[in-house]
Amino acid sequence: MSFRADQRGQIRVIEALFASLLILSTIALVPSQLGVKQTHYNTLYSEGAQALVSLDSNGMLSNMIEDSNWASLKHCVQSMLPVSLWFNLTVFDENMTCLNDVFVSNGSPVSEEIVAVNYVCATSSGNYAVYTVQLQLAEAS
Amino acid sequence: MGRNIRNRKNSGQTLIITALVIALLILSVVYGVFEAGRRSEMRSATTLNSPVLATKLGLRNTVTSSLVNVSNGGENGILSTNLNEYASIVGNQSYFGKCTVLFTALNVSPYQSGMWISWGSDGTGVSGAYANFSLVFTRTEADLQLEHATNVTTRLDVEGTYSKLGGASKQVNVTCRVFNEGEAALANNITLYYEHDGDPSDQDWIAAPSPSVTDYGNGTYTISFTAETQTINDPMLVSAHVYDLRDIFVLANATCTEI
Repeated sequence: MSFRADQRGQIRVIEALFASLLILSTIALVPSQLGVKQTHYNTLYSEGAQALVSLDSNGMLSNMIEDSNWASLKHCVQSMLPVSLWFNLTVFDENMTCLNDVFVSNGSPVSEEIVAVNYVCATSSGNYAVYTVQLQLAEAS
Repeated sequence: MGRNIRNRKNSGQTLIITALVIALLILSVVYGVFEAGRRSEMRSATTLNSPVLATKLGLRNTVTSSLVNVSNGGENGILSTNLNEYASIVGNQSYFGKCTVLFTALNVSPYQSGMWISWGSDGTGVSGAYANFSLVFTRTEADLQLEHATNVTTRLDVEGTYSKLGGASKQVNVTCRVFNEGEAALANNITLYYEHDGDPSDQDWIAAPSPSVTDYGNGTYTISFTAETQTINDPMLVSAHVYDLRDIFVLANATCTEI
């Protein structure tokens, strides 16, 4: 009788452990899903920022903005980003007035999740100016 | 008998609660380790790299632009003005957090307000700018402070020789070497002048007529031309005016040696 009662207790403990493990695994999955979203955001942000830094490192970005050469700017950005990415680039001056009178974009957004990269671009020419470049990115989900 | 049953029931409940507590502890530890790893990875790999690079690049462009301006006749104070403008705009942006830019234009000789313009007659000319920066990135998870300095310098070395051709004519060969931050660099434009009477006080500089330029592709240029001085014994003074690829202007004067 006593032996049977002990067995029942062990089974309850095992049941409780299994239940705990179930709860544990369920809860553990939640942050990992959040992490996936965050990593996705960071990847897009990083790709956009790196493209802009590369363009700016040799002075091309500020030169194209100063010359209002939006077609070349579009081609340069397009060549530096993966083909599966949608982008839309907008250039603002110090007063946040939009400078590009044409769309610097490669089409329509392919996802509702859009990441915006704001980049401050300073010219290295004698006529100093600071532009804010906003690069919006989206990836096919 | 009834008391035994009650004891057994209580013992089972305690075991279950203990198991739950242990499971929660394990859960907390696993979650804590996972979250810490994720935050650390985010911070180091992605979050700060781009803003730091972008800000450093912007500051370098700002210093370069100021030097272009000053070397072409602008005021030294333009460096502080431009850096203040850049810091103000960057401060209003938030990449992943707030960025504050603090700067100090170098005021130690030979620099004045961060600028060093030395266009000497000993064959060397320097146009330089130097500023120290402190970047403070403030985020919810962590703060980061970076110290760095930006140095933009264009140096020109000029040396030359000449030989008398007859009358007041001289065959002049001048070598110009251009450096950016101590490394050989290409020039965008070189203009050469010589002093008509060999006396620089009257500033009677004449552009070298039909110069023959050889570009060695490594920042070294030789320029040959025929000069007509006032008299045959006038010393041959030359002045090289150079714009580098960044449009920074530098000039250097040199006295050529007779061969």
